[in-house]
Amino acid sequence: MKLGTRLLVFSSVFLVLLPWFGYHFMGKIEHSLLQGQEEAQSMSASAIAIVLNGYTGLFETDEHALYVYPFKQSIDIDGYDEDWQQLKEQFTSYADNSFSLLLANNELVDDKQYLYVYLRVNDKDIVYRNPRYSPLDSSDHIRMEYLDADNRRKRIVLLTAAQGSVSVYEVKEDWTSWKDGKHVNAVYGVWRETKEGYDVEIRLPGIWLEPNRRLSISVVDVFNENERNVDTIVSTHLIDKNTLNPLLFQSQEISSVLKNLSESDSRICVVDKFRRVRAVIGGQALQASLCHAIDKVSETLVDKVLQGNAQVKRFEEKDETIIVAARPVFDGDEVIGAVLVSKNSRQILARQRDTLNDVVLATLGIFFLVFASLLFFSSWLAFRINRLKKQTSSLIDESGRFISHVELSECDRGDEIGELSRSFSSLLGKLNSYTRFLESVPRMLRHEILNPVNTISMSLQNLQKQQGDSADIKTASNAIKQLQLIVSSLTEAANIDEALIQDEVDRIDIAALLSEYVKNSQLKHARAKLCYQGAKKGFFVQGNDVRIVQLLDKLKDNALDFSFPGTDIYFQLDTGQHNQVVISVKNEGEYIPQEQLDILFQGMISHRSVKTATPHLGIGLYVAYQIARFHHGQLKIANRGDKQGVVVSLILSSYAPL
Amino acid sequence: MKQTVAIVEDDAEQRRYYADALRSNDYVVQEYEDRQQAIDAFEKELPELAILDIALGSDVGGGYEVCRYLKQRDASLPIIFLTSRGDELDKIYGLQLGAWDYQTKPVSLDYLTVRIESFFQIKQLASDANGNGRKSGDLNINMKSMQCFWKGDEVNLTPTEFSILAAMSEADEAVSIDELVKATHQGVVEDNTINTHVLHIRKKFKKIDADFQCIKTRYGFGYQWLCE
Repeated sequence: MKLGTRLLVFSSVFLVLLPWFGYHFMGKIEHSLLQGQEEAQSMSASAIAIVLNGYTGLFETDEHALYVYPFKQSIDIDGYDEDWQQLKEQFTSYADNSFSLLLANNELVDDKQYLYVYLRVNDKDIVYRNPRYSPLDSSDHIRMEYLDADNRRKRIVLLTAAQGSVSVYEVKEDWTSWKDGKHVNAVYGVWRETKEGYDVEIRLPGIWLEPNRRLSISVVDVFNENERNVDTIVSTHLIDKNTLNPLLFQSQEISSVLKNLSESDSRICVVDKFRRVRAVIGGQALQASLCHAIDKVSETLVDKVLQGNAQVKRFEEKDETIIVAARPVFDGDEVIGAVLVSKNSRQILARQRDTLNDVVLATLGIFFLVFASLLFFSSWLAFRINRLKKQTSSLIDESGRFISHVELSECDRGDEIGELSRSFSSLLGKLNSYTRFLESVPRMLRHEILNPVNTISMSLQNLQKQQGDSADIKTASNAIKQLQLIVSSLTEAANIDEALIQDEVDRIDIAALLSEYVKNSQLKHARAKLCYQGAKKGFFVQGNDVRIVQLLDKLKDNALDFSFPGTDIYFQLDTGQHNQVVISVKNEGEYIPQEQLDILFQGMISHRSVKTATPHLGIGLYVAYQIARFHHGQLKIANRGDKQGVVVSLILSSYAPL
Repeated sequence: MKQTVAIVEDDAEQRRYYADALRSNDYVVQEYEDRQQAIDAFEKELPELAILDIALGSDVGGGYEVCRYLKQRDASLPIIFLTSRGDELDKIYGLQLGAWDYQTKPVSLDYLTVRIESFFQIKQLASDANGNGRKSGDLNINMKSMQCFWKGDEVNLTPTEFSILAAMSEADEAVSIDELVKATHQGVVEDNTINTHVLHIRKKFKKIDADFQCIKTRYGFGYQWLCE
């Protein structure tokens, strides 16, 4: 991975943590906001509870009171319970569920025109009215008893001969005979059979019940179609027949007290100790039906409050959180009711969401900025490092020699790269002096060796004059020549680069040169057979003929040294790819491992298992390589595929006249 | 009259050998170890020929300085460099300074005395340039005075170049590098040194005659003088 990329990845990882922290922080803020709201709601619930402590009379209700649920929509009397769906859970059942009951009035109508009753009766064996039987209690029927405005008890019976509208009669105290012999038209009811028995939906004028608000309802089951005797009477006034059940409406007084305390976005709900809702104020903003009638959620909460414990709860509903704070209302030590203050946290959460959005946007912005500046910074660093790399490598050629000594551009910088550059510079300087020293070694060596060699040589010349040719003198002379050879080949290799630069290049017919070269070389080397394969003329390259001959000499010497005695040496001229000329020199000889072949062009490396008469320093191929390079050519060495031996190839570009 | 030859060489042994060889050939030899010593002596009297080593002890280019000094005093004074520095650049620089010959060590003492002798003969025979010459077509070679003329103009060759040219022009066919090496009378000579000499010879002829094509390279063997 590149330096810049790595820096980016690292910093990105840390940058990503920023929004994560922001998110967590937002969570904490949300938590504390909600807590604050909880506290505020608790306080207002406490305040309301304290206010209501003074209205203890409002909570003095009978356990057996019939609760009249306020209804917001109109109710069609059709015997079906669709209109009552929202109160489905609120049915009060009597005598082991032999019937259950719901009462409601329409809140929307100010004068509370009607009282609605929905009765659900369990009766597998319905006995309808038969006109042959005159007593009114000779079929299954409903009895209703209430106190009129003059405190007189009024009794009505509802019965029917079939499903549909019921007949309503006012009856005497015995419940069997009509009072006026007339239908009571003000009461309207519809009877409908169900799986379990039958449902009766009834509407009666609300005014009848004022101001005493007392009403009892009984379901009378008649046994046997033929005998038609009353079997059971299940009534709402379970304990005392003479006491009618009080009707319990939501309290106008509590509502008016609370109206002043309510807020637009919160709902206040007051319940009595029997969990019946006495008043509900506000809550337009609330979607949930919390405490509208006592629902399951409110029920458990209220249960705890009614034991005297203040409660605060959060309810997650759909997308919103509702906080409910509940406080008991005391009368002395006794809990007589509870106050529930519910508030939707939507506003808080919306505000929090806005903030979160801001945080995310800001983080993204910062992220982008940091990212961009990091990108810029890292590219800049990479650029500088790259430039340093280029400069450094441009100072040294492939073989590690100094081309020039230039001050690196980063040297004047104060940062780490500047420091790196300076240390590179000083390192290169040291390397340069060392290379120069090494380069001067062959020359120095030649100078130092040739002086004593000269002395010895002259001594030998004098000896020869005085004593004539002797074997010893010849041996010594030969040794001197060998020493000279070593020194001169060392200097040749050391100076080849400089010497090449001064050479002039020309257009050469390499085919003619090579064919003549091989022919002439054969004259010098009678023992070996040199063969040429290729065109005799017509292949042109750009170069220096003397140098190419020097190169060929090296390749030839190499091939001669390595070939088995009596084998042929082939010089071959081919055209290669991309308009190239390939000169190959092949010999049969030892196999040389590839790893040794690869390094043969480096100076002072020689792979020789045969001892030869002339000293070998492994310089020949190095010189050949340098000459090939000077001609922008390539020199390659490989083992032969066909026979054991080596092939050295020189690849040159063809001369293309402009 | 005996000729005076000055030798400036920091190595006492080598100096002694040169001096002995020259003295045995009846030259008056003056020996100097370093630049200062030599120049001090030359202030009083100039020799007739000077043999200089380039590096004089720690005085790396001392021989060049002595050469420059002598050439200032007398431009015609013959100077032979005998040195271990065989680089082409050193050689060219030395010859540019006006040296008559440049020989790399080890030196053949016989050849050295022959050279010196031939120089003094050149001086003597300078007036009689064509007297002892060998003529082949446009080329006129005087072996004794080591002078060479091409189409009547003198080609200014160093003694080594002259020897190579003489060897080439004498033969009817191509001359191998090895034979040319022998002709230079130098101990060990790389093939490339001969190539360089031939290159210089060609250049010098081309200066006089731009169409000069008489020396033909025989690749892998040597050179051939083609002209009559």
